[in-house]
Amino acid sequence: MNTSSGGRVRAIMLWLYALLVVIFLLTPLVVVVSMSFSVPMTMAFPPTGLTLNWYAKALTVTGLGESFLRSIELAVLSAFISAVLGTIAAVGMANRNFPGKALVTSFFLSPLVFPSIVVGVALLQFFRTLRFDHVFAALVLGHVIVTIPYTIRTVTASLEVFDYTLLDAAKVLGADELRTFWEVMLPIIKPGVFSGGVFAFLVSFDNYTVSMFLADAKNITLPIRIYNYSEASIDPSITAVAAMMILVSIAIFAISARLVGVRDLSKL
Amino acid sequence: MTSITLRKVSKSYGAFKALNNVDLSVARGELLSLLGPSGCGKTTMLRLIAGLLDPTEGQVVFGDAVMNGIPPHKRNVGLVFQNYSLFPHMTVFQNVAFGLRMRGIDAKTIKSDVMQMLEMVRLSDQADRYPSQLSGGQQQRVGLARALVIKPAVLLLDEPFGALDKKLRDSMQLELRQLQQALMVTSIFVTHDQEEALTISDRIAVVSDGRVEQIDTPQKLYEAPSTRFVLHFVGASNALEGTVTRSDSSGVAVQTPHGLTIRSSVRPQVGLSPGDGVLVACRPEKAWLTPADEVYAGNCVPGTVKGEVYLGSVTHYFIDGPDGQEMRVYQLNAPGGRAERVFHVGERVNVAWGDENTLVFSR
Amino acid sequence: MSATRRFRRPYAVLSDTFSRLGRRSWAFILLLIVPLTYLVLLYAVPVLLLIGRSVLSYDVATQVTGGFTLENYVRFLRDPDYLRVLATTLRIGVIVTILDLVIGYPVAYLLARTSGLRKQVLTAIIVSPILVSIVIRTFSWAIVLRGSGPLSQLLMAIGLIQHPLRLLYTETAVIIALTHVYLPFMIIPLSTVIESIDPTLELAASSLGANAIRRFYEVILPLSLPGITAGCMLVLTMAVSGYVTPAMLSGNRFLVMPTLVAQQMQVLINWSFGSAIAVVLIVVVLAIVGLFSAMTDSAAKYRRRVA
Repeated sequence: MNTSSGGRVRAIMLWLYALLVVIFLLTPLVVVVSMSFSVPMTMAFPPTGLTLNWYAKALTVTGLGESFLRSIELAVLSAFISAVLGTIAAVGMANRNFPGKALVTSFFLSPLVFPSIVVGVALLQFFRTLRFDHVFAALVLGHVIVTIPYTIRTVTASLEVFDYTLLDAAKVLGADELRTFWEVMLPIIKPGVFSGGVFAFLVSFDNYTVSMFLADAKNITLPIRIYNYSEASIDPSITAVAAMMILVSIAIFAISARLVGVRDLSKL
Repeated sequence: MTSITLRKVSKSYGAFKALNNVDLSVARGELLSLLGPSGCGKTTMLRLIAGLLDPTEGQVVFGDAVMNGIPPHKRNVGLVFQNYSLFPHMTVFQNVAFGLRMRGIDAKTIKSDVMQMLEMVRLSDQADRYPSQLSGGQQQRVGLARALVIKPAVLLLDEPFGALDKKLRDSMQLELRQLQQALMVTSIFVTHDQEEALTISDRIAVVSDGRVEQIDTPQKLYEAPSTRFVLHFVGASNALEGTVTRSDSSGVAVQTPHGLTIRSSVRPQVGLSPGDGVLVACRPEKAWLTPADEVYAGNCVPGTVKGEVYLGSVTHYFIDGPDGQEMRVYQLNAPGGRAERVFHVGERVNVAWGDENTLVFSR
Repeated sequence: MSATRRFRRPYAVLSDTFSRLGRRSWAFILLLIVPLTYLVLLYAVPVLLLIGRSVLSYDVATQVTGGFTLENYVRFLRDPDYLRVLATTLRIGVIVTILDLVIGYPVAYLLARTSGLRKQVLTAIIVSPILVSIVIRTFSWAIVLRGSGPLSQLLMAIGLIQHPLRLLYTETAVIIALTHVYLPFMIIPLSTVIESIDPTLELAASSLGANAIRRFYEVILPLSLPGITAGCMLVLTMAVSGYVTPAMLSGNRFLVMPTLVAQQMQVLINWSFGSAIAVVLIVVVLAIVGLFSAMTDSAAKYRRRVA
């Protein structure tokens, strides 16, 4: 940006505006977190007193712990399968051109724009028709679908800067195809696979629209539990639950960003 | 190490023929260079020998074993890349140890072999560093060590010094040659730099457009090029087009379009008859300059001096020939004889040389 | 030791197969088959089944599914109430998209022209809301927009309004929340495109006498068009397909397409009709994608002709 006096004024104005937008982006979350610590039952803002009551109460909410675990299990499994499938897809398509590549790529990435409510509805009917009643498995299968585009994208980005002569070097040194992939390619694209896995985890952990059709009484995911609870009562302990979930999500992301680098964020 | 043979090898990509009926032999312990311009097929040949590609026709033979269809990891070749291709996530030690590890060799032997190899390339103190922490020259030495430690049947090098600066390149060439001769490993070296090829090779194969033009020692390539391409690609020359007027056991006489007669006492290898179109040429150091009024009885081409470069031990003269083409005369600045005469830019001169130094090429 | 020895022979066979296959130029297809099969079986097929069910008749009273019929679609397209739902959905979507574009563009520009730590921090802040579940984000807005909520209190405190806000359960609430939710999805693609615009072009324009407004209008805006279309397409498709936010903030006072689908599927258990509505939603999304793709293509063609 130019540094003329007009330019500097403009820069400052832009940053001020950005600050406003940032406030807009963060406000709801900040409000919720602060309310989770506030005393009065009426959930006023700014909080007039601080307490951890709601957190204590939140932990007694029935099924909360169970839902939390269920969501974590679901997210880990979905992220893992999604990372494996996504890596295979990315490796298969990278560095080569074939007829229909654009079509196949669009197909793989389509769950990003395809309404997930339709995915949920379609899978519900699909599993019912097949009389497939393993609910947790159904949830995993559905979550993999909506998370695959993320892993494919991050791994593809890693492969775009991959030096393929390294594979030649490995092969000539005596590594067969499998060992070449395992010893040379995988370690180098690990950041891409990992960050894809993290996105997949978060998307699955937070997902409501697909889960809502596939879940049952024994498999209530955390978002579903929170949704139901927020509709049912005006209990402020819901803010504590919400605050905890915000913290978990941000913590997971921050740790991964530390491990892999914030650059991968723009791969979204 | 073994001998390497390419028998009638062709490689096509659809309609494009990268290699056309190539016959090539490399003897045990020999260093052969594949010399040619970009895209001539020399790297393709290398990749065929390595097993990264399969020939469309013909056979790749190690010793007496046909290698067609055998994957690269079973061929025991060493490959050194232009951009080093060191595994960035492994240390120098792990890079060099990789090939040994793939062969299932025990850790103790690996350690001693790797350290021994690193000693040979003078990098034993860098064993625990990562490639990104090394200079270009060091990285390439690691690449060499990695390829040699597995005691390959043949060492393949794909323009390995192309990414290095001139001084480093010169010293690496020497180092490679010493290493190769010490280990007596059959080597094939790809380059587009004729100086490099002339420096290190036992023999050179000049490649153009998927064909081998000539395989010979550096001297024979320079003194007796068999095709125009080799003439132009290796070393400089003074060349003129002309028509044969006489061709017999004593040599050839050629008349140029501007009425000059050039003679060669070299017996024609290809059958030439009067009327054939040919190219005659002479190497710059074989010619000398005379003032315009002194006409030499043998080959004598008039021209004007357009440039003079004094290089201490030699002087290079550049002359505008009768057709406007550039001619060169390299003159040794030794006492006595021709060196006593100095010529200046703008002077009218004759470029003269003896019949025994005239090279003749048919169309 | 003996364990690895036992694995040696099957591994050798596996390795040989991979090596032989790996040299074929079509080997990659074998790789692609795995994820492709998964997506086809568990994504494409169920959706096709959905489309199939939408053309089956269903008697709510007897709960009997009948034969081929288009009555579900006819019913949807003939009923003004259902069409109103479609209109509401599109209206909300377009408004959210425009708001996100206007609000987000300057931020995207700033993000594109910053670097280093500031850029990382800004990116992290912009992306961070995405990390949080849509349920939580919507819930947060429900709290903020309530009559007794902080926004209401703030506006009353500065005297902008006299009575507590009655925003909750209105279309406006949904629009505000959706604008918030999808803003990062507009900013990021947009800033990526703007970043690829050569900054020296702005310098060149200013040296030729263009002021800031003209520089924006003549240089930045046209060159950022691919980013605008990418961001708008993303936000619009997401805004018309989102379920949670309209569900939580409309208070069932009005429906959008996704909530209508959910109602049919879960409450009324009319899968045929619900599927038909879902198909209409798919068509809407496809139309949006198609429209924006066509715009991008024709823009590219225009630029090629002009260049």
